Amino acid sequence: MTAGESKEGFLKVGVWDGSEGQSFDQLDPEALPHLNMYLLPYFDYYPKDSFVWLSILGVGLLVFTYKELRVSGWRKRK
Amino acid sequence: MNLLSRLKERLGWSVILDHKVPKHSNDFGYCLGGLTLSAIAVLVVTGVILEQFYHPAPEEAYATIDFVITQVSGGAFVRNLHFWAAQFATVIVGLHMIRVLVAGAYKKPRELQWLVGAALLFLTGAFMFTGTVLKWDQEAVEGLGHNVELAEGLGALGYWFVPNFARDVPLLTRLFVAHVSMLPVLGLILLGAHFFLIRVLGISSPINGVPRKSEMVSFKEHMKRVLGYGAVLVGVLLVLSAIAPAPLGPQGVEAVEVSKPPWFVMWVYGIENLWGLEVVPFATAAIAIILIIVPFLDRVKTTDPRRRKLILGLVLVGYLVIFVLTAYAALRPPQTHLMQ
Repeated sequence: MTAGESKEGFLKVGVWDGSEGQSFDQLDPEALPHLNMYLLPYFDYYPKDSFVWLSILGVGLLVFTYKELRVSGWRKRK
Repeated sequence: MNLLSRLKERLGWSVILDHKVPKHSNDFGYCLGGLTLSAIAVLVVTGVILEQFYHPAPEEAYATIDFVITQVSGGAFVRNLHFWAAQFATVIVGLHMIRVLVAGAYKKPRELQWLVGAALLFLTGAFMFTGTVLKWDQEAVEGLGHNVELAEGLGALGYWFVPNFARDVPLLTRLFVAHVSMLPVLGLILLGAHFFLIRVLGISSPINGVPRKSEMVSFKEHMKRVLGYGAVLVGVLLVLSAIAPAPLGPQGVEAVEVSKPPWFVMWVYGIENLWGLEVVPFATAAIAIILIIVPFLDRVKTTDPRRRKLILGLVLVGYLVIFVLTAYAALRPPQTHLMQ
């Protein structure tokens, strides 16, 4: 795929391939004078955060339960 | 008589400062509420700075955030600090609630205290949602799109969230007003009630019984401990803000769905993926109802976890459901939920 335009009817779509070093700036502004919408990549910057924070909450749940059980005499030896 | 004691005499600080609290109040698990307050303090200060530069209009919002990040000196750092303080506040509030649930601190006479706490949890969610939308990037526009569709489905209940509610004021502007004035006022009232009830009812007992007199420490000592933890938290926030920038996606384009929500509502996204957007109000209402009835469901007098297996089991199942839904949504590619 090369940076350029695809024209069909009145809809113009800008295309580029970021992995090939192409960018939005390489599109010819003359060819796409009214370009105000472009295809967006998927955003996926939260999965790692989800696991980090949920793990903290999970460990918290286990630690508090363990601690409270211990305080309640669960592991008390006679 | 020095200045401090004169002030103390006139401001009645002794009512707050000169009393004893149980020694276990200094355990980390019992300092989480106070720790949340440290994060809130950071949020208020950074929030006031950020709102000096933010223009809450759909055409301008994104550009003003871009301006804060690139042109305002220290702007990016302040924004990072606001972001990280919000993340930590949410997690600490979650841990605080888990601690209260596990220790059975919601039991008589603290049922009202629990309800105020549950309201504060929902308020935290409201702050996080409005704050996310204010970024006005792709994720924000999509988040608001979901919310508007949900609100339209709710009819009169969701009327405030519908763009047609006000003729000339965009929904983004109204959400900004909610974020910086309506929610903070509500938060102050609820926090005031929360602290008042702690003062009246005292800090909840450890689960193996009422603390003996010899196990009491001064409240000032407890304050020092909480402030110490707070200082560590602020240190962590400062370091994170210096090395990890708060995310900002590209400017939002309406009518496309290519992003996922922030982690704290990722499980809602999982529900949308599996059962559709229309199930979300029921799931949210179910969680709210479960949280409200906890103190009325768990009527056993003891706080011993071994004799409260049902409630602890429910907490664990609730956590696992949220974890599985979050993991499912996090691992799947973004999906379309609107206009189906």
